[in-house]
Amino acid sequence: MPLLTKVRQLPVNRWIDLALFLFLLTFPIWQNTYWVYIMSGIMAYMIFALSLDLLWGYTGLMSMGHSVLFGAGGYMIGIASAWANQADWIKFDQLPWFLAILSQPLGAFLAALFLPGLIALFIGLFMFSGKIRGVFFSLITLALAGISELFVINQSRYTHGDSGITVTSRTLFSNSDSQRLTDQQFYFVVLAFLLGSYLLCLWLVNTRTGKVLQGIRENESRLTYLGYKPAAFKLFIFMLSGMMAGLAGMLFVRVQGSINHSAIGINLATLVLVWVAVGGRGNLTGALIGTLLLQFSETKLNSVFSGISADFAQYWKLVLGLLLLLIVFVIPKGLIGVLLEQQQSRQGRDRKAAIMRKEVHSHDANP
Amino acid sequence: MTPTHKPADKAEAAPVLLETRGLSVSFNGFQALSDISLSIRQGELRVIIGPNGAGKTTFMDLITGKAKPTAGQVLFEGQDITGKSAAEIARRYKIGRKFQGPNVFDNMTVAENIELAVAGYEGLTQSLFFRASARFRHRVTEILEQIELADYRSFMATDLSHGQRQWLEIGMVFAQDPKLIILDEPTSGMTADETRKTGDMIKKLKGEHTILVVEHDMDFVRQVADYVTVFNLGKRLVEGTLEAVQQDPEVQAVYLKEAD
Amino acid sequence: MSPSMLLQLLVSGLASSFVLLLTSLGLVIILGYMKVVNLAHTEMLMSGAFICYYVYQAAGLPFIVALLVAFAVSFLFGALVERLIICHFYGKMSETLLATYALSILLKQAALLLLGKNYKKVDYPVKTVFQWGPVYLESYKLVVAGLAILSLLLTLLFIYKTKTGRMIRAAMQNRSMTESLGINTKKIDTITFAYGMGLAGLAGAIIAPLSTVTYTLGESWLTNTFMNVVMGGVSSLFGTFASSVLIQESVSVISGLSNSVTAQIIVLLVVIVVVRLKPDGLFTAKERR
Repeated sequence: MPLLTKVRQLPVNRWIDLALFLFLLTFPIWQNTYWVYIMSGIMAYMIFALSLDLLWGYTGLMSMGHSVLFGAGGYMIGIASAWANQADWIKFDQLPWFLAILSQPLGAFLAALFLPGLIALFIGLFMFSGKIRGVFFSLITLALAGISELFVINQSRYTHGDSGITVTSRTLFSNSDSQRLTDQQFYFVVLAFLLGSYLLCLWLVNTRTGKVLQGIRENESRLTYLGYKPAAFKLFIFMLSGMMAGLAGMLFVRVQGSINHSAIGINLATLVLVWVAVGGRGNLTGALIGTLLLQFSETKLNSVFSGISADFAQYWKLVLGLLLLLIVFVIPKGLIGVLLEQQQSRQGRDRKAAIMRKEVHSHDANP
Repeated sequence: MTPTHKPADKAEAAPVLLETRGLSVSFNGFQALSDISLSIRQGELRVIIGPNGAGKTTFMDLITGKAKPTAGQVLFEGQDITGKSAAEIARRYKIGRKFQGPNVFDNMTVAENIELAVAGYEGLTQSLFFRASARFRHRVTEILEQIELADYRSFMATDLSHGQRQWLEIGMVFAQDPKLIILDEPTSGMTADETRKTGDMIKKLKGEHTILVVEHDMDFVRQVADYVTVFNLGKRLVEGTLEAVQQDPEVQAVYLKEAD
Repeated sequence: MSPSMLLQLLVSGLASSFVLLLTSLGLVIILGYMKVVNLAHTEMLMSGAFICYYVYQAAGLPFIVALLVAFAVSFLFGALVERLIICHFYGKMSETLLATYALSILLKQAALLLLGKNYKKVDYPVKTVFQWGPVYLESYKLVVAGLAILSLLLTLLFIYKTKTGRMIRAAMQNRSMTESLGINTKKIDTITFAYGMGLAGLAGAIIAPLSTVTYTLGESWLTNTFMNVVMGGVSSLFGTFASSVLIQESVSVISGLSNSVTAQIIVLLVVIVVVRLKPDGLFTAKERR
């Protein structure tokens, strides 16, 4: 196949991805520190949305409690930082044994990455070995988000309860305040992780494993009659997705400088569903664009309207609800889903025409 | 189009591939199958016919691990596979099954459907680091040609016609490279032309593969079958060449009259 | 723990069971009979509580009027929602979840922006406290228990003894067959959904005096009601009753040993384990087969 044709057949959303990353790469050049800081947070959320897209968009597992894994990562950083800087609410002299790793160099980073993976492994083993699928998976993950929120509020000894934890350090590995990176520097740290996560996802969904995951989404029982064991694949993707969510939570807490129970509860769990639904699921780009569009608009509109109404955030949620309803009605495949659908139907028409021509030819050749 | 070779001679020579002994199953007190004993030899093409509710699909379910028998045994190449999981029966014992009505991966391309079915890479790590070799790609193309979908390889399965989707699933079973091919009503919903082509596809495999077909369409049965088993009300009624079976008064009473 | 304290915990646990049963009934109808996961269910509770506040507390009308208004308004709203939104997404799980979630946001934000953030308090319609030996119970909780049983019985009557109820069950068992008998299944869907929403609104009104009425009332019930219904076996009304009692009695006793939040967490985790072990629900009643 000539290179040009190959390039033309590339799904249209990959060009959007390219443009998006170029935009993000140059963003700090023409924007001030405040927006660089905002965009860093959004990029952490993008990693979170990607992780959900692997699970929901590709594998068909609609987790309504993905924030549990995001929050677990975030809280690791929160507790580590509070301990390292001896926050005034800390009443204990020693970290409990299961959190002792947080006092080690690199410890918080590893914990934020692997604890969510471990939680996902545990939940996954528990659920995928049984008959829990479809809507029951969604409802149980939703309940887990609710339970986790109660849990962190209840464990105020380590999580500072309702008020949450302030995180002043901003480096990747260390928790001491002295080595704080600037907003600009940390922006590129987050961007690097976002790019890495994106490339990992892109590679994964195009491997045979990625196709098996889509097979699970399309027709799980058929796969078993082809000799596959879907539970193993579901477990794998749930763990990977959990680790990505943990990474996102860790980066987000570093950017934002705080974490509280809302980062682990139902609010964020459903918010990320909205981002992915609006952008379009099962193509990676939708998760990125949905998150960027909605979070950027919220911040931008907030800065415009906050002078007019103190209730902006509440009106925004109302808008979000209306938008979600509109999307589900008009373009259930999401913004990027529509673009892809158009390209596919165009290619489909071309192919059909080619087959028609071929049939006519062969008919002419041997009447 | 009448079969020229004598299946009986050949069948006697070949070893038994699949054997069921006294297979019975009941659901909530309803006896769906009772005491089915049947054996199929290597390279045989066996057609099972029978009216609706005769237990044909249930019989397939018991062989492929979709349901577990309440009594009896399934032996495959002499090994007991009774009650084993569907994935194990597909992977280890290499029994491939096409379901009633197209059962494919709708929002994936035709080629992807076939690629997923090609056997030998079902493990997680195997599939993660899998790279399609030239031989693998050749095999996929070969199957696509066999099922007349070579031109449709980039189509989404959902965009195919009903008959083409049936072929796609038949192709998926071929791709599994199974020792036993089970086809449950492969021609349902097909046009007469498509049915005939399907018959040709299956006849081409005759001899090399062992095939078990459940079918309603009598034209198709006439086209492909030489040895037929008749089920009725969960029991094996009679077995023999199509001609012999058609002349059996019992069979005529319960089935052929209804069907024709 | 002294026996009298245990008794007190068991009695108040039982009282809460009826509250949970009441708040879950509408969900059972919609999830069990229509296979629709209605994430807006708990926001309907919240709306019912507000209706109770405005009709009973603010306008001073009799409590029973508030209950009837809450049911009627929620029923009509449910019918409207089914016709406008839900009917487009039957059989599409993700879309239904997203659409009903969107609806729940709209209800919640509308309540916040129109009715304000302030907590509203609804007086007990019956103010006495019932005493039996060492055990105390607000009389209103007895009323709630009575109303819960009444709602359950009326629902059972509706489902099993009326013509509409028979059609609802028929549509659940075999839709195309029901249609071929000339029954308008679309209308049945609308009635079923509206009835479920009506029950939610009614439940919200009944629990209003027990709660602080505010826009967040709904979300506090989300996890409990859904897990309750899932454990009860989705379409079984008796199962939901039984699992309500199990859940609230356990929460009550465990919170006597530690605190109420820990009790909630423990019980919900146990419920999840139960659901995993018995995916069809603990009390799959005969009505399913």
